[in-house]
Amino acid sequence: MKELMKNKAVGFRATLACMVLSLITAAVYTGIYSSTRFMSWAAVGIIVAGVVLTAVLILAKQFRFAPSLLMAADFLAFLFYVYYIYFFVSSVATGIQFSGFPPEFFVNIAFFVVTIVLSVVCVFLPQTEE
Amino acid sequence: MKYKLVRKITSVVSMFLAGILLTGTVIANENAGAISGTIGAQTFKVVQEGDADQDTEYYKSEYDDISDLVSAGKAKATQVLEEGAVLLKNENGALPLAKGSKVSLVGVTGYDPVYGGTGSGTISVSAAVSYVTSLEEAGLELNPALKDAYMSEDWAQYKRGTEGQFGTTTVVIREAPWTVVDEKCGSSFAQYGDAAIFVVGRVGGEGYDHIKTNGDGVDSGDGLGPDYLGLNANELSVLEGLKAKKAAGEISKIIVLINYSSMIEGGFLADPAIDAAMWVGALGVGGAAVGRLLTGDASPSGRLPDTMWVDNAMNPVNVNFGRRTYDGADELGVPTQLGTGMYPASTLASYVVYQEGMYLGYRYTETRYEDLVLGTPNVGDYDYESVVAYPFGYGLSYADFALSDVKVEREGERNYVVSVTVTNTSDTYSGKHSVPVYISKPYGDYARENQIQVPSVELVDFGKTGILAPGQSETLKITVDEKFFSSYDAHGAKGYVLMEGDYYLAVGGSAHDAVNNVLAAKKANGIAVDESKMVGGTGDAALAYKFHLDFDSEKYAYSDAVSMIDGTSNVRVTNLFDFVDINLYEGRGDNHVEYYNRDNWAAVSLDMTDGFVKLSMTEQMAYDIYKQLPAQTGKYNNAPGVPDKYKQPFVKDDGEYPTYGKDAGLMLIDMRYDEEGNEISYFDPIWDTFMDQITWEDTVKLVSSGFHLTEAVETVAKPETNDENGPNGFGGWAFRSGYLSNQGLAWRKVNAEGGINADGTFVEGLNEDYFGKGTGFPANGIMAATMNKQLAYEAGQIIGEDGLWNGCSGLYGLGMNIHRSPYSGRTCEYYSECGTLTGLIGAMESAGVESKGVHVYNKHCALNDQEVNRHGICTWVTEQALREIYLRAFELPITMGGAWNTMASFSRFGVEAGAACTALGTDFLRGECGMKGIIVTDAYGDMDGSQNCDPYFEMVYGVYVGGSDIPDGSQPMSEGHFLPYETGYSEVAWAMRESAKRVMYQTLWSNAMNGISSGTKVIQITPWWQTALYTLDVIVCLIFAASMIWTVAALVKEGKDKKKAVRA
Repeated sequence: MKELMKNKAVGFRATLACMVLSLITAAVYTGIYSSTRFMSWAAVGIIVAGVVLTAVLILAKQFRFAPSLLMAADFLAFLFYVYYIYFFVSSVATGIQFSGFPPEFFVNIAFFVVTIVLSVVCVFLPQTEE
Repeated sequence: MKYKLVRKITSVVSMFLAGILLTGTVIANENAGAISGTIGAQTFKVVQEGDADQDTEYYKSEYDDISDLVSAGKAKATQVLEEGAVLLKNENGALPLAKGSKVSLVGVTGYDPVYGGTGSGTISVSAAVSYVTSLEEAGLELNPALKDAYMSEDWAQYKRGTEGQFGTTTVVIREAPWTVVDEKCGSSFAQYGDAAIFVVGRVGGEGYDHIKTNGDGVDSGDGLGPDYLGLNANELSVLEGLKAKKAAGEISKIIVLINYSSMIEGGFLADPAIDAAMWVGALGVGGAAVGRLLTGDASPSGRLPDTMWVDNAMNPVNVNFGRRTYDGADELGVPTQLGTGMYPASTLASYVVYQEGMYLGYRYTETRYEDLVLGTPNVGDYDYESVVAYPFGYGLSYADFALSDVKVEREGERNYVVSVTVTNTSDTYSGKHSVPVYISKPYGDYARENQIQVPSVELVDFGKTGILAPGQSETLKITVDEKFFSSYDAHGAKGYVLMEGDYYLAVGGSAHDAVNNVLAAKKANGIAVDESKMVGGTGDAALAYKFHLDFDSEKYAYSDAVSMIDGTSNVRVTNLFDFVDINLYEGRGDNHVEYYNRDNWAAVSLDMTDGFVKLSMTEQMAYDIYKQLPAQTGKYNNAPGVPDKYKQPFVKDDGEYPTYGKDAGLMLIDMRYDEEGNEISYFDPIWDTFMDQITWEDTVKLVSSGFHLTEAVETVAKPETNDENGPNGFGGWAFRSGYLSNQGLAWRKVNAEGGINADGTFVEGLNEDYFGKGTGFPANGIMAATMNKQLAYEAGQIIGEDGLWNGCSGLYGLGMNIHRSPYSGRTCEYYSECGTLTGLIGAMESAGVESKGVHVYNKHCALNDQEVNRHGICTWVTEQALREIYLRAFELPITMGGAWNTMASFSRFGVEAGAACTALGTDFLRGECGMKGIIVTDAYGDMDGSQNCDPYFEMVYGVYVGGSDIPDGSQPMSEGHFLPYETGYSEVAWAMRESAKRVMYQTLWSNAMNGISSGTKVIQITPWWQTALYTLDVIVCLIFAASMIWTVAALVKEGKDKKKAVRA
């Protein structure tokens, strides 16, 4: 571990944190939506695959590409989430059923947004000490 | 370095934009029809190549100017409310108020009126008239302190509101408590004390009911929960505060206005401190009527369309209303609950039993009352006065009216002409007066032997006078159809029968008055009547006409309408709905229900907590329920978890398919008239030639996409139609550009006058009325309360005109379900607890709408009488009650009003989804009623599992069994539901052909054909928003691709530089 962290900039630590956060987001998403018809298992798979591939890149010492891959995976997963949830959102928005959004909807959105924002920040942060 | 940052930013931003745009494009394309329809984007254009002088306005407007239509609509809505508001109480002439009276308007609803319902009953309120405006325009001076307080930011917290989350949202009453009102404005009442007008408001709408909700009503411990339809603590405190003010002499009168489309509990109105009360329903844009009524500019003439109960716990319906699921469903593998469901209810295992049978509303209260007075055994403990606050048909006026010279003459084979002279006996007030006519049938051995239920009185027709000045008379002649005297015998004759015995036609007043008049007539004919038990007088025998009929099971054995199955026959009316009666359904197992029976008034428990009918699911039920999800079909069909034993695929066949795409040169417009100018029948063989032209792809499109539209077919110049909500008139969110949202008369007129720019925008300075959204009428209960058929027709004409001008040829309305329980959330859309009153008024309003080439989709056919569990709820009811109450409401608008279409119910008839019920769609609506048009499902996304509920219906199955023709949705098209049936399923294909033909036929005879001649071409175009979206997609993707190329190039260069550096 010490070896891994040697000569690494704060960006690398952020990337590691983002990997953990991505997995948490996937868990939160699964927890909220797995029993519903709005669940996209593809989204979860993409997040997990993104984290795994990011880890592979890190192990292969391709540090600079790791955050980009993580960001792309998190964003793609988010798009799948959006695709599966949109009918619900439109139903609430058009209001035919006298409705509002439940808190877990916002919790899930917040996790995705924070994860993606952090992954974008990682892309712009140097991963290794110059 | 700086280029690296720019490159990174460009890559990231363009990737995000590309991802969002491409996902958005996929979603948008899946819902293209709905989006275009909603924003009014053009998806086809009409190109004229024929005779430009040909008159192609097949349905003409009576108005030359949009402002005239808008004004006429508002005036008509006002007239409806004037004639429909019901004066419940008026002690010592408390009303009308003198002009110039200084009054205190109290209650949050006084400053925030209930104009309509929510959901599909939403109306545009931009032209609505508030109580403040209405009362001030009528010459009343309002307490300014109250006005300021109620409309202040501080008091916004007391407004009606909602609590909870999606799917479990409940409405709450709130209201400003008296302590707050008194502290802020208490001293002002004395100055404005001519009257205190307390407005009690409630709101209802789509998707929720009011029983056992978590609202803030007072829980009186009657099992109904915190009762939204009673007063809450704050309202009670206001009432007590006003009474104290009155006792102190600071105010002279207390007047209560009830601003709700249905009935709240009326027990509190008996308080002698309340001087007057009026039910005003939901106001629509007709609120100006309230001031006019309160000040006597108009005299009330409405009659209650529902019973107002003292305590709703006394209403036997409510025990079987709400959320119930079958015992044993889980064990059979049928889900009863969804986890975090958007609709936390089961679509596969919920049920409701209409255990009251025929004894709904006044049919219960008055029949049990009559049995009490007649000394019938088993009447049980029944105290009419503690049950009924105001009976069905009740309504006072400022004027007094007397009925005289009641005569009944038979005319022809089946008409009874009731003539009655109405005289205004007051010396001050003018007014109209409606005269309901009720039938009292014999309840004898035949009825008992065959389980026919016979309410004491039933409304059969009504008439209404014009405005009668004091002393003026008018003789009404009301023609009553004898068919209404027959009863449906589901067990013996299996058809309508006239039973042998004495009948009484009673005229005038409420249902209770009618019963008393019948009792008086019975007494005069020697029947023992215990007058000591009578309530509300001892009746007037002169207002009841007795006659005798012999038993006859053949006279009404055939339908009046010509069947639309074959176009020639009148079908034999016989049992169609045995499977809807749990006692007759073959898969009932051990289930049995004791329905209300005139010989057993104990059949229904009034235990609101545990008295409901308990049913167990049987394996046959589960099998029948899953049958509506054929295994090959749909995105969610037979999802994992559904037991294999319930999977029922369509069976392949080797039958011949219809011919597709064989051009015969026929355009849709050519199908109206033949060369001699005769109307071409739906059954004319030329229709086969015409339909053979339609391709398989266009057939699929026609039957699989119908979100508020029917699709265009370019090859035969069939235009796309626009079909919009709603039951109280067009309005709501669908009309973003008002009358200019579609290419209707308004658009064509403005376009011809150069008012539309090349890019589709409108020139500056257009008449603002063009952006109005159509007339929003008062709650349909108010329409029913008018008991004025001509007025209903005229209101329908206004709705039709709105459709003509805004380019809609279909109305998702009118609402023909029944006010079975006052707790139903959607009463604003429906008319009455009485199927006959609903049907008679609905027929006239439908006729008015249809007269303008706008086809009604009367909804929700049928049994959608509650919102809780409405998706897929199994509804069990006797065939007699089904036909005489719930289906009559839909039948009369078709047979008497020429209604073309219906919208199917979300709920089930027994186990069969309303949209997949052959007995309903084919045998009853098309066969018996002769309905010409189509059946659209209700919101399709709620049914096939697109939303988070277990799927319970697939469109293909609906078409296959003749239960529905198109979905109110686009999912079946975007998901390709029909595509697997292109070969090997000829029965499915022929069913699709028939539905597609019906879509064509109903379009042909609608105002969608206005502007289309035989030389017209309908050319489909990509709507502007799709073109814009695609353009953006391309631009952003190119930028993203460029940034990627740039990145790769930079990396390559970087690699080379590094290598160079290493070499150096």
